[in-house]
Amino acid sequence: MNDHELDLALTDFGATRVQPTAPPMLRQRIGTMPLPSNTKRGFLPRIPQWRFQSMFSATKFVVAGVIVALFGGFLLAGVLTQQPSERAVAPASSPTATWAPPSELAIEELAPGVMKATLAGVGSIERSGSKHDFTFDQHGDMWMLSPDGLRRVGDETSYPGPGSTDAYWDLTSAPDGALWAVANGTVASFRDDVWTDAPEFPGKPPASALEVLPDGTVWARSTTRLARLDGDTWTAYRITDEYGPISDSTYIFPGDLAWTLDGSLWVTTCYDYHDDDRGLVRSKDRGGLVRFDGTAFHPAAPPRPLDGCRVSPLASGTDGELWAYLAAELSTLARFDGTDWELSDDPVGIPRIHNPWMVVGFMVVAPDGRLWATGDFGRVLGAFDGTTWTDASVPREERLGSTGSVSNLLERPLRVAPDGSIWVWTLDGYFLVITPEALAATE
Amino acid sequence: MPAGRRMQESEEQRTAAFRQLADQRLDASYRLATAILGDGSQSQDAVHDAVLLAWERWPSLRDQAKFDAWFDRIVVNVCREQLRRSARRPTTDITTQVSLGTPDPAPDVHRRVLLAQAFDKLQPDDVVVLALRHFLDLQLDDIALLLDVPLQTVNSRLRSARGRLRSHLQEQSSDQVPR
Repeated sequence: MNDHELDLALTDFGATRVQPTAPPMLRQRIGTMPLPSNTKRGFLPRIPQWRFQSMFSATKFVVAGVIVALFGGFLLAGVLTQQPSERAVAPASSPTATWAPPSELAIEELAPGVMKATLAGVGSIERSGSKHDFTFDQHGDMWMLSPDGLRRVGDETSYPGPGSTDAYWDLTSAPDGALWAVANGTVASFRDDVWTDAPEFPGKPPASALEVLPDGTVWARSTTRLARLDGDTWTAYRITDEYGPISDSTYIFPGDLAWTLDGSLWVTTCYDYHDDDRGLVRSKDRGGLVRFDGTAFHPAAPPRPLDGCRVSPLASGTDGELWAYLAAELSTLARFDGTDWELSDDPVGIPRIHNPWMVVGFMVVAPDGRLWATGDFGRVLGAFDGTTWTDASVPREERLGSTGSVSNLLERPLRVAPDGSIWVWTLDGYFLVITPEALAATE
Repeated sequence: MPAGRRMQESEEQRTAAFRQLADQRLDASYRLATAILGDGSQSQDAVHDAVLLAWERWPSLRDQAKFDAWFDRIVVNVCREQLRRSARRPTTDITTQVSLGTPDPAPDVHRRVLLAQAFDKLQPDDVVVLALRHFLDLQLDDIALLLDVPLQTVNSRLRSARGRLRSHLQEQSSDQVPR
């Protein structure tokens, strides 16, 4: 390809890539997002234009520069000295007394009861890509899936597979003791040390995440498809009924999946799309939160609309409750106890979070019923007891897993271990663990 | 008028002024983001993050007349940061699927796919400079201004980026032709 051909090819490629106008949704999103105060964060003071004009001589300019630098230095020093103070997990009397992580993990205590756990061979997720996932089985064993296969942490044995490539997305445990994984589109179960591939997931792109319900039903989703595995058969589901039965021309956008103890599957969705003679047609229904009743999906009815077009994380608890973060402009947490919805309008109460679009990324419910969530692009971890938030963030130089945006590196960086500890997989490849003792100390 | 009230109004005016400028620049910044990132949803996130960053840095912008260039630079930096996280989960843009599904001269589609794959292998700086030059048709001095680097550096980056892109394309071609 000569220079001219390359120019032409790039121009043609660019024409398919560049989108000339911002979609209305983005305009709405930008127009409605709250802007926190930007005058109280140690910014250097804004120097009015007229002062610059009057300081035009070189001498004055140098003097002004020194003053600004000194002033900035004082401010910077002030900011730096304030940073690590927001960790509010209270000390436990003996933080590691009963918590027994797998011996293969190297443990470092970052704060009382807040541990940094490192597994040899697992490096930065940011650099290596999403090539690992982890989960805990019913016995409390920790499992790690990687390009080398599956292994029980603390166990030398590795079980190759499933799939043939190294792009692993999701690993989860089933109530019957099996593990289920999505590995580069292959859905497979691991039982009695043997991988068994499920039939091919219907449609493209391939599956990227799954949920196993208490009755053993397996649900998987891709970016445009949601399907249930019944024995050896996948059944794809649509969300709205605007386009008739689902077909290869129908696209849905399942977001987060969660199940509650009553056996319901809950899904956040965005618009459905249908490709027909008119081109790509979008459903009238913007989507939101839907619930599967055993036959079809029906809109659930939180007291306020849930904008499924933003990833609205869901989490279910051991009391059968469902938490939904209403990621629309409302920025509200909704809790469904099986009968009624209860709202908390202060999810921004996670300390240091002030923007609803980047607030809550992932959520899990701890055994004590508290909701744990990452936020602010993974820089913050907090616990919500229904009334107040507790900040358990690590120092700022450490980073937690990413948030629920579509470009997440991990499907579920936040897990609850059977012993009740909260595990957060950080982008740097180590786990941040809030031990049960530390959790108890904050109650 | 009480001082508190005056301060509040002033804060509201500042916010309103920023919102207006950001809104006016939204199409252009989204265009910029899609050129660099190629993905609609990632571009939306990038523009959103850029608006937030811009608001944080708003007090440091002395001349609002320079908002457009200042904001574009922030958008580019946010996009570059997204690219830097090159291990991000690939997302499927439905519009790509559909456009590939519609009648299209096969060689064009094939070429676009090859280019897309080759692009994915480039470093963020290469992607940015190629996008600005070839997708947005910016002049070299405009690119220099946007990236805050000398014109000579833009020239050099562009030449290197094209070379690496061509090299990736050649690798792909040779992979597909049995020897």
